[in-house]
Amino acid sequence: MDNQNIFEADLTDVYRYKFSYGGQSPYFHGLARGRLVASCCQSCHFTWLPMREICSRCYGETKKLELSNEGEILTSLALPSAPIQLEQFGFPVASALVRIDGADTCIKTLVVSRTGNFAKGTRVKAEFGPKISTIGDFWFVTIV
Amino acid sequence: MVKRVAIVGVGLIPWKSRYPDKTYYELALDVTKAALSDARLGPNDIDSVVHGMSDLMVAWVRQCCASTTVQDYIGMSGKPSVHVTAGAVTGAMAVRQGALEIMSGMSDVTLVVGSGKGMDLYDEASGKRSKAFLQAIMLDLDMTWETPVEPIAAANFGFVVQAHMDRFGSPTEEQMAKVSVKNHGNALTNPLAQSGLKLSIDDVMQSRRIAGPVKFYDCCLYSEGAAALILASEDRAREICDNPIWIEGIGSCTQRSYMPDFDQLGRLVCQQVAAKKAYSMAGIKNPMMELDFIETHDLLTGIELISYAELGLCEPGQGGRLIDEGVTEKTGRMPVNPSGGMIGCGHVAGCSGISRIGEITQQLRGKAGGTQVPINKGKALFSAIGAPSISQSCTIVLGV
Repeated sequence: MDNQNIFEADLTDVYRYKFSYGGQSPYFHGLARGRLVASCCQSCHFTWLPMREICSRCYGETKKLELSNEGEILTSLALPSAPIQLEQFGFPVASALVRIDGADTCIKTLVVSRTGNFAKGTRVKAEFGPKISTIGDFWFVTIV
Repeated sequence: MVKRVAIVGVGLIPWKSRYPDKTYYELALDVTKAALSDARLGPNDIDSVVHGMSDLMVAWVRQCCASTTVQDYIGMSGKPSVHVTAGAVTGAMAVRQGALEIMSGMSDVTLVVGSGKGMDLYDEASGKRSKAFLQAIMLDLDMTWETPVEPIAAANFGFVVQAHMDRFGSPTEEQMAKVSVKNHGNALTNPLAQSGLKLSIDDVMQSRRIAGPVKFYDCCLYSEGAAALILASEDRAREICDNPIWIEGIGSCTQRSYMPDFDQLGRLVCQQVAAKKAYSMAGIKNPMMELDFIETHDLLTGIELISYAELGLCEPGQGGRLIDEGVTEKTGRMPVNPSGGMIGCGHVAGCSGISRIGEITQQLRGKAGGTQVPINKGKALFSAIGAPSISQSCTIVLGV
């Protein structure tokens, strides 16, 4: 068919959510309080962050615990520009995998660095935005 | 006794940035007709259909079960069908599912078909379709654990590349650029490719930085397209054609998604396991000595280099050395992505894997035209990786 005879329609879809985090809600309640809520398997002693109600390794029951808000960068990817919630800092931002002290897992998160240093092993500390809706509403800053 | 499975028909069309004149089901019809024609079969010869289409079709074309529309439009109503979806691994998993249909004895002839269209999305503010398309991908990747902290589509794979660099000191950005030059260059000889380009290393190094070490020419394109294959049992394959291409080994594996194990950082462990399974099934002990060439997912140049080790061509961290030494060039000892790969050809999550297996089939038949590489051992490999956090792989060995 001749491209000039294609019938194209302008369509718009808008979805709104009251999105449930289900059994992992305690993690998000913790973020709202400025805390990182993990869970430790009572059977294999693996510590999950974010918390899981049941251990995915052995299906054991887990017990919630709060970890420190500090950890280290495992790897990072410097972003060309800061996401909107971090523009206020005016510093370089990276997406990163961070291991929180005491956790047996790592989390994907955002890191802000005054110096632009996101090297592996760099120590970071969590900061929390005024309203927690997603994991993008808290981030880490590098400890100088 | 598990039945042997052959590919007896291939239907491919060019990758394009957009097919404004075709719906996704019309594209599927085009490739189905081409595959049936290649196999000299008609629609009534097909026992079952496997559809490989991305779950992103919900956002792309406003259809949650796109396979039902395709099944009707390609004239297969009344036959059993299944819709396979697994991110960028979808096409390979669809071929795996098609092979299982035949291995199990449920079907003798199975059509595997996929199509994808994403460029009907449109960003009114910028007037760009690609911006809206990438935004839709990001929103649909994983709104809970990924998208809020990975604002760029390439970040998902870029993490693995950066972690590999941190861990092994390679690949370098220049080695990554060499892959871009190779794959864009290989695509120049492929009439189906969307992005055949003669680039220099400097062109790649100077291109726009996307995130971390990843630059514009390190990335594959997103495209629109479709592909189809006809699979047949051994008895039917020998009736249908003189040159069936056999599926000799299949391996598939997953790994933890949004929180990778520490010892897996910078590795594609699921791909390594999938490759080992496929090699074992095909009786391959030394892939460098027993394969003629490889097609593997090159969503980013660095991912192709990391895959060299996962597919058994070298030790982890040594992928960059292979491109430096020219081993994986089209004229090298082990050509990788002679078709141009995703970087040179294009990519649609859904049908890419089907298309790449179609390209391999044409190579093994000696009918690949300008992309043809020498076929001496009669075996080749396809490996797909993808899904959020690159948590899934499917690897397939094909042979004459």
